Amino acid sequence: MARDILIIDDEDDIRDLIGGILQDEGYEVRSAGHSDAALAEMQARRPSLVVLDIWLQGSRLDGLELLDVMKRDDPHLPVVIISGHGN
Amino acid sequence: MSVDSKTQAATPPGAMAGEPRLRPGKPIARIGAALTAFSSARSAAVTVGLAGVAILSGLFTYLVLTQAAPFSPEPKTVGWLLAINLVIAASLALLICYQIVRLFRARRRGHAGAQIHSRLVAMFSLIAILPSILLAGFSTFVLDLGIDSWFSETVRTAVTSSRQVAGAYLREHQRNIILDVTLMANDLNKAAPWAETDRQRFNAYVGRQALLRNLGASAVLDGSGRAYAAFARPDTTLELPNLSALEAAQDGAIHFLESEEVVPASNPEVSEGTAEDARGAGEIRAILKLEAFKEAYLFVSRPVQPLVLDYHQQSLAASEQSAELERSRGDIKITFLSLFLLVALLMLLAAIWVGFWLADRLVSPIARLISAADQVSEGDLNARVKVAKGSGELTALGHTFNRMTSELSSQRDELVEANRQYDERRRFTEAVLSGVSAGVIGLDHRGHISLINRSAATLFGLHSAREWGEPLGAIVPALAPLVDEAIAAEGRRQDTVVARQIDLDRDGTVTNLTVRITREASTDERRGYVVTIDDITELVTAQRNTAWADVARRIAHEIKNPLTPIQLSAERLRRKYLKEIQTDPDIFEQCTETIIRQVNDIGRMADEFSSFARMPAPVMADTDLSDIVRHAVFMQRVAQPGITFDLVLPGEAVQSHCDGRLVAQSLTNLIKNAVEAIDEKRRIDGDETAGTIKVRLAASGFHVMIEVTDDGIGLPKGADRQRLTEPYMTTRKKGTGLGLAIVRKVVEEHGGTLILDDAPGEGGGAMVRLVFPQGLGASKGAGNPADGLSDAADIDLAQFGQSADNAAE
Repeated sequence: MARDILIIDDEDDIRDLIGGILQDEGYEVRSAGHSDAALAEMQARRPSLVVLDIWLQGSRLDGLELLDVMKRDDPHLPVVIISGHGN
Repeated sequence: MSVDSKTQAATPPGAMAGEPRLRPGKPIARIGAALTAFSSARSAAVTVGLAGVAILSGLFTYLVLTQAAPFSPEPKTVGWLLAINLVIAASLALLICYQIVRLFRARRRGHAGAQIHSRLVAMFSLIAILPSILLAGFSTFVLDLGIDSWFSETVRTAVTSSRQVAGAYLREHQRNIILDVTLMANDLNKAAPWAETDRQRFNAYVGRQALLRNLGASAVLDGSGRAYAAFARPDTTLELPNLSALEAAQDGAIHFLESEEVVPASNPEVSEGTAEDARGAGEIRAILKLEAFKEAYLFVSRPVQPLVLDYHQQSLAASEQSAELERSRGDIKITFLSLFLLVALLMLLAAIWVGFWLADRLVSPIARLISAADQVSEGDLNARVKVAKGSGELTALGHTFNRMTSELSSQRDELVEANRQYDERRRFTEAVLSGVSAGVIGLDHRGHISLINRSAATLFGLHSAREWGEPLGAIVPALAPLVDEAIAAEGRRQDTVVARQIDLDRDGTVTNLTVRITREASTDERRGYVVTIDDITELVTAQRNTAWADVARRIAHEIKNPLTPIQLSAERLRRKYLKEIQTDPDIFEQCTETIIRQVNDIGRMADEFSSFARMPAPVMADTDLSDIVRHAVFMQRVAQPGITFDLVLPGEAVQSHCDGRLVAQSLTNLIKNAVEAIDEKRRIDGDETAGTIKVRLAASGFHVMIEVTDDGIGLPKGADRQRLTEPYMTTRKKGTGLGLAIVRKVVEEHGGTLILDDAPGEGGGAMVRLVFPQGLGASKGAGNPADGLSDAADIDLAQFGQSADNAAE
């Protein structure tokens, strides 16, 4: 089974760190910094899991909008929403 | 409506309008009142009637006395008439006197219209009297003259002359008779010798002699009066003298006979004659004793013109009468005069009486008017004049007066109403001024205080009464420059001359104020100013807080961003490399742990910042505070083993309408502060501090109090203490400084207050109290923080009692 996780977050550090941690656990990781890249990646290959930053600043679509688009394309796509704020 | 409520019910024209009721005690007054009342009841009729009666009576008397009336002037009738007249005159006089007295009294008392009345009466009386007097005088004079004319020389002369003529005539006759008698006597004496013997011849002789001498009758009588011889003309009745006449002729002189000295002849030997009763018919008679005879008397009689005798008698009578009249000339004059005067008096009194009545009628509307005007001048604008029907000028005046006073009255009512409205508006304005939260100070053109409302007085600690008139700059120095600027800006057109924000420092408390000075909208040259002061301290604080909150939120947000990567990195490092560290792996672990922990702290701090900025509204519910306090203390007791916790709760449950979670959080913050203070103290004095925190819950009346006392390092003194409750103010090395700010916000939202004090006694430390309304029953709800503050500040903390081991606070 493909264990392909797509990490979408506007911050490089977060992407690297989360990606690193997941890779240590043995997953394949791709990352995108903004909605366009994310959608391109989605098009290229469907990931098994998406980790999506809810804010996603500096991107054409913000986190929630991107979520809508992704869910439209694939309603069963598992998405983990992350936030740096906790509240 | 009647002008003077004190006048008698029917204001009589005969009475003075406005005159008060006479005191019933005086009998004269009562009679007078009765008279006046009677006369007033049908005043016109009575007046005219009385006057008419007087006049008629006078006239009647006059007629009677001059014999033109059916009654003859017998003394008794005259007496009655005089009496009646006197009675009428007397009663009229009495009434008039009474009226005069009343008029005088009214005038002295200054009753309305009394002056005019008396003047009118005087005038009328004068008009009545003067002509009367003049007429009386004139008439008296004329009467005098008239009476005198009766006794004038001419009349006297005429009377005398007629008497004299008649007398002369008679004397002439007498002389003739004397002559005839003498001659006849002579002749008869000559015939004496044969007279007695030849009676017939003697009779014829006597007859011839008589005829010859043209005598009416003749006779010779003897001593007893019988006729010896007699002769009478056919148209003459012989009347013989009686004995007294014979006696009178004894002296031998010729004696003329009066009418009573004759008797009608009963002698049938009368020559010829008719038995006519001619007593007193014009005859001259004489008797003479005949010397030649023994005792014989000659009687002759000659007829006189009866007219002459009449005249004679008349002239005699007239003479008598004249003489008698002359004797009683004075009496006649007096009588006539008296009569005339009486009648004149009657007329006069009647005229005066009518005059009084007329004066009354004229004056009473005027008097009513005067009375009403007096009333109006004293302020009673409801006075109206009773106006008689008609269209005279006085009636019109009365109507005009009434219109005028009702106009005045309504205008005054309008004025009063306008005044009342003005008062209401003014009171409303005052109420607004006193109730408004902004301070309002009115200044005059010099900048001296003319008005301070309550808020301004509270703001500056002024007593509105004392500072009145003082220059504002002297009372509140901070405002001096603004006042000066306002006065200096006299020429500028705009109304708001100064608008500025100032900070007022009072006893260490800084109050932020916006001050606006506007010029009064007035047309006066010297206009005043209105100073409006708004206390924006809370606004400023709130702004500051909001600004801070904004910053805090933003910072918190920004801070939390990098925290995630740091924490992730540290966690990743630990996960990935801990098993691979050969040398001192626990150091590695400690370090990563520290990183993670501190990052967590930072995150939590950031959360706190955020949560303070967006603290949610309290959710009120009826809570048992004892439970909350007990729970919070328990938690802290467990968390702080090195500190002794003293918990004082009232015996029963303390119900309060509040947000339990927030109250618990506040209490926890306070306890945490106390703990940190003790820690701080211990660091300084080397753990010598006992470390006791006492938490006390008390309820009293409408409020509850939570008190936390510690023996730590204590609160800062001075201004800093107040600033402790501001956010981000901390004197500790670590901590956010939000703890007390959060507590204060919570307690304010419960309508209460946070009180910071030093702990009682010598040990140092702090005592912090939360006081807020119980909020049960009517006063539920968070309430207005501002209100809560001011209310709580007035709360007597002593009502919550004292701790057992506290000294006096």
